[in-house]
Amino acid sequence: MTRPYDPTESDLRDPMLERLGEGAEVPADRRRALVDAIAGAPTPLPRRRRRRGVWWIAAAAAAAAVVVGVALWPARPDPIPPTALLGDLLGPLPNLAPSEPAPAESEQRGLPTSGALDAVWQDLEGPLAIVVQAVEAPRAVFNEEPSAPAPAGGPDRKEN
Amino acid sequence: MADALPWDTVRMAARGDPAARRDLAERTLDDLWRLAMRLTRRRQEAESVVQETYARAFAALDGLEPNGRFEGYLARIATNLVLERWRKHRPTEPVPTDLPDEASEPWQQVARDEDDRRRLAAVWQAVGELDPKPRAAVLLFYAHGEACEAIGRILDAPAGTVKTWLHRSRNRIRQRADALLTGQSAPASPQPET
Repeated sequence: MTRPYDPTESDLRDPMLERLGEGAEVPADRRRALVDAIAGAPTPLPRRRRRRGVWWIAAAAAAAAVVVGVALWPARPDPIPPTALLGDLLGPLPNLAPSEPAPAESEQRGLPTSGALDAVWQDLEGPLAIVVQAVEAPRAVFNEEPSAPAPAGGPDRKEN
Repeated sequence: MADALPWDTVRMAARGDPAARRDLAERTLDDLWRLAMRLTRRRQEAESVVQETYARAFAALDGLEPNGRFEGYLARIATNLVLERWRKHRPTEPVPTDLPDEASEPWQQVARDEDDRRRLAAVWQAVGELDPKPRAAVLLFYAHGEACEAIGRILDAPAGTVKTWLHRSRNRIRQRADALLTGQSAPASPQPET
């Protein structure tokens, strides 16, 4: 079983790669400007605290607005009873009461019985008539007596 | 290495004391700039990283426990800032191998002869193609001279993982730089795992 390769830091050294660090000095003019900028930069609030601060300010402002609104709301001299409010919403209660006796149960369900039968019969009348005609028509053909002579050019012509 | 910055100075600087801030900047700026420059290789980007690092350090200082060096804390913030940028924008422009005599970048200016410059440019390009964490480990170890333990603290990784990154990355950089210099296509060696 082979051990995994575990190089030391000196094993990893590479003169060519170490040259990657060359030429990284800060130019003097940029250095001065950067030091001045860092020394004079405004102090930022920590991000989390800034967000939390904004949230608390907004919540406090909303709560204060509600309290002020409730406190300054003009009091009504004649308070409205809840029933009057319901009445305004639903209409006067007498109007909701039924003015006539309730119809019979059979009327509530739909058509009266005779009317329903008539309607069913009307629906079936047409198809039944067709069926009856289909049955009767062949019988009529067989029972019917010939009322006119056979047409000319038919089979009787040989007798002439 | 300079003496560690007293935490009292750090606290006063975080509260906005201009003298403490100036003292803090005077004592930490050079090292932070070198780190930012070695990671970004662009002066403008390094400057932006330095400024943002101080801003973040001051903003988060209230919740910070004064253990270790403030300089290490700054290095950690700066490296993470650069990692964020690398993750957003992978480098797409290759480093030119035919460098002019008066190159604009400091890392180019130090390469004296043509072969050296070509070699260094190829190495930079190979480093730029590594994944963010191994790339940061390579630059912190080779360019900035940090130890594996310290790199592990900065990158939130065990020292053994840092060593593995360095070992694999070094092999990959050599192969890739050789391929670039000889004009061959890049070898398909796997990236070090992050």
